[in-house]
Amino acid sequence: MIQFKLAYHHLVKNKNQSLPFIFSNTIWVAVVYIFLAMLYDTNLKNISFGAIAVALMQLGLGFVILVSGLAIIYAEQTLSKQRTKELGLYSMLGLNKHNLRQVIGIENLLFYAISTGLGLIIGITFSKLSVMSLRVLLNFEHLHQTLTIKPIAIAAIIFAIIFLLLTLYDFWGLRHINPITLWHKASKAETVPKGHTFLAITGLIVLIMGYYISISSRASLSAFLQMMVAIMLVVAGTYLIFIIGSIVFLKLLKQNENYYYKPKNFIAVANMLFRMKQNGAGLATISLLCTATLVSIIASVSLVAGQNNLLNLWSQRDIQIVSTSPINLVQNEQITQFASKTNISLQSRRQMTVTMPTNGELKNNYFKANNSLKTEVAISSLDLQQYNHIEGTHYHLADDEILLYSPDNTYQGKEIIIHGHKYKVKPVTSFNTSFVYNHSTYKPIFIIAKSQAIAQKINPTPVLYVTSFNTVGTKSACKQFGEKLPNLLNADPASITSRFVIKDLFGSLFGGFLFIGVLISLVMICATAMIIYYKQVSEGYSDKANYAIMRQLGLSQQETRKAINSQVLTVFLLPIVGAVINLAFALPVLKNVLSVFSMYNINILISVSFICIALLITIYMLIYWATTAVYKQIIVS
Amino acid sequence: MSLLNLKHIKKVFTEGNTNQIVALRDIDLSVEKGEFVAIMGESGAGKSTLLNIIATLDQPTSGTITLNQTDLSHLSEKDSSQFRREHLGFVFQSFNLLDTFNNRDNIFLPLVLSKAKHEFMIERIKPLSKALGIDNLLDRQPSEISGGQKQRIAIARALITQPDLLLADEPTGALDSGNSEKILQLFNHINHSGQTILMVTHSAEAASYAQRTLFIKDGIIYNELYRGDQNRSHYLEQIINSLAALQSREVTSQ
Repeated sequence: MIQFKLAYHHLVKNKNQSLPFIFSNTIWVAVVYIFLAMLYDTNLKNISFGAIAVALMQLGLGFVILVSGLAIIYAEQTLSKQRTKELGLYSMLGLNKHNLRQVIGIENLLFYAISTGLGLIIGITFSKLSVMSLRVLLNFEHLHQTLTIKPIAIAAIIFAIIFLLLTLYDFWGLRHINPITLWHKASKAETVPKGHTFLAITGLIVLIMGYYISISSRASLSAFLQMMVAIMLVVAGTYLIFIIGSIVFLKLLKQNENYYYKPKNFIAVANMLFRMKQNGAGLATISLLCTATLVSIIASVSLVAGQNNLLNLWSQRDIQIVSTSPINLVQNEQITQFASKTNISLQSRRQMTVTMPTNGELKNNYFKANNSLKTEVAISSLDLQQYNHIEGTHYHLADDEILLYSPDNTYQGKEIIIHGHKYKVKPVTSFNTSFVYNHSTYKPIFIIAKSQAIAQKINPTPVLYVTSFNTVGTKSACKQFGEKLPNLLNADPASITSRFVIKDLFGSLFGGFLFIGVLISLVMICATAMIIYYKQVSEGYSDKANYAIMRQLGLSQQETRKAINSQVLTVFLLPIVGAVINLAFALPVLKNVLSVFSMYNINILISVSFICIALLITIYMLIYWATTAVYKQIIVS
Repeated sequence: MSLLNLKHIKKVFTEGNTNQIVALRDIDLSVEKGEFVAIMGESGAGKSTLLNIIATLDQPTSGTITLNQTDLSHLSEKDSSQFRREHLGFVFQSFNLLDTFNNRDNIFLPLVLSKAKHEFMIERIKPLSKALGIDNLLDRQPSEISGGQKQRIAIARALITQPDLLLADEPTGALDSGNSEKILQLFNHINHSGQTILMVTHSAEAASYAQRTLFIKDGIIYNELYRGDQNRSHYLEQIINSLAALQSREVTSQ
């Protein structure tokens, strides 16, 4: 069949363009597969907090599919320019529109088959290898991966849809079929998109909307859809801004005659302007991938770094027992005996009674009890005498005065209104025996009132008995004590908190998050490297002929290198700048997520962000440096 | 002293380890300032190799070549690049305009590479664009104009540095006869205003515009024809006869 031969011939003949195209598609297929494999082939949803991890992975998957679709469609534009020329020739030689469509269809089918096949192989290999090696490196044994057909099939279907859209887009490009115009279109410079001020403004609005949604929505599983919308808006906005922004930027450079008419800038600016849309789209893709890398690594490292926060929130004492009835003499005896049996001693024992927490929300200093998606805090109360005793303080309070303890001083109000009564708030920063009832995700707030009666009025619930002590002994003995205590007392495990046990649990739990985060950022950074490589190689081949002409006209190799450096350096920082701006708007979301876990610590978040950005810039520069060498090699050879 | 001097130029290409191809055997050639010289020969005769050596894009295996007393046979890559853009102008068969630039910037390119001031470029392009009739093409892209127009832009690009020597490689090879004639008349016109031109061609018609035609075959100059005071059609006839003689010699030698 002649159409097949033509399609195959074109693919092979233009291997300088078709190979990098296949290469980048392969990377996208592999990345999407890796996400799917994490979702469907692992026991991710079965490990603790797995549901959140799954939701985050789904967001990541949506992002990757979106970006890869756009990137593939843009990458194909370079390719279709060359193809358009040949289609022009074929149509001169007598192929009709239908035949041309067949040629395009077959060629895209070939691209799809090769890229998907290779991508799946690479994806399977990469995810197997990385899961194995990261398990060893991070000492994380909880995650297992099996190989099933489901993620493979889904990845294949997703890219089938992308290539179908691509083919329809190509058909649409054939609408004014005229051999001469087809032939000429190939050597034409890209035109500035019509109404580009309008597009720029649209891009800005879309981006701001995305930012707004992401900042304003509460982080919870119910916000999943909102997050997805925010991601889509940010992706679309970033593409528009980069495409239009880079055009405007380059045009400004061109208008500045003293800058433009310098050997290195002249060639660099003209080359970039010539393929401005692709240039902008390429930069946007790189920027978005950098953003994804940053977000995933910062999120997971922050979780790990913030786990002490959560630990302190749950209990500042080694052992904390919360019960609805006081610990009786028999139980007391059991605890003491078990302690001496496990070779530990119990110290600084504290006991208090507090009212059972009431869940609700705090808005404008007004507490409203509820149990809904808006619920944020859990308020409980105790009397001043107990607090002064535990903390060794000498506070005095009037009837309408309270002390208020909120972890990390999140409550900033000067007063608080509960059940219609207004109380003056004196914030306190320390409360040794604070606890989280049933380890819920609501933020505990402790209100210390003048008397037990007022405490009951503030929070009229049954009392809880909190007993806590520190354990002194070997680490393993302390842990063993903590593990066995619930059984010994025949109590609900959630009512007894042992720091040693929890610390271990968190270690593996957040180790899992770190594992996923490192894996995703690894995938993203590889994809970034590949896309930069693709950009440099494809541009290298398209610039090669021009540099050859300029060499004939008297451009030395040294000047060629300078021009290339200028071309690379003019725009190379833009994606990183874009990524940092995107990150600045992702951080509040991250803050919310961390707050849900009660692990938000501004210092940790900021220092982790800075380290990750610095790291990314270093890696990014290395990638650019290496790929620029490839580009130079192509030009000079 | 002649502008361009080639003495005993030999060029041997080595393919693999042993297989040697002699492109130029022994070329002696000199071009005076203000001359318009055509070099003719069939493909494979060594025309392109000769042009590449004069253009400093390649170096001879042996022999000396000087332009304006500068020895071209041992220039470094950097020096030869600088030499090309300061002393030589190029016109190619396929125009070699860069589609990344508009026509004006294509013409400016050699000056930009020489780090000229923008005001200077504007000053230079004015008389040139008028003489070549390309005023209304300057702001368009190369892809938007015809072949003849492209070649005019290329000629402007070659002349804007006011080179010692204009090298033309089959300048009419991609043009129809009408446009070819216009370009060649333009060459004549440029030559009359003092520009030295060396043109490689296989078209007798094109060569007939030159003052002197050299015939190259198997790496040596076989024959040389001066136009003198003859009119062009006479000279053309002579060139055609010479070509025929060249070919018949080939037949008899076989």
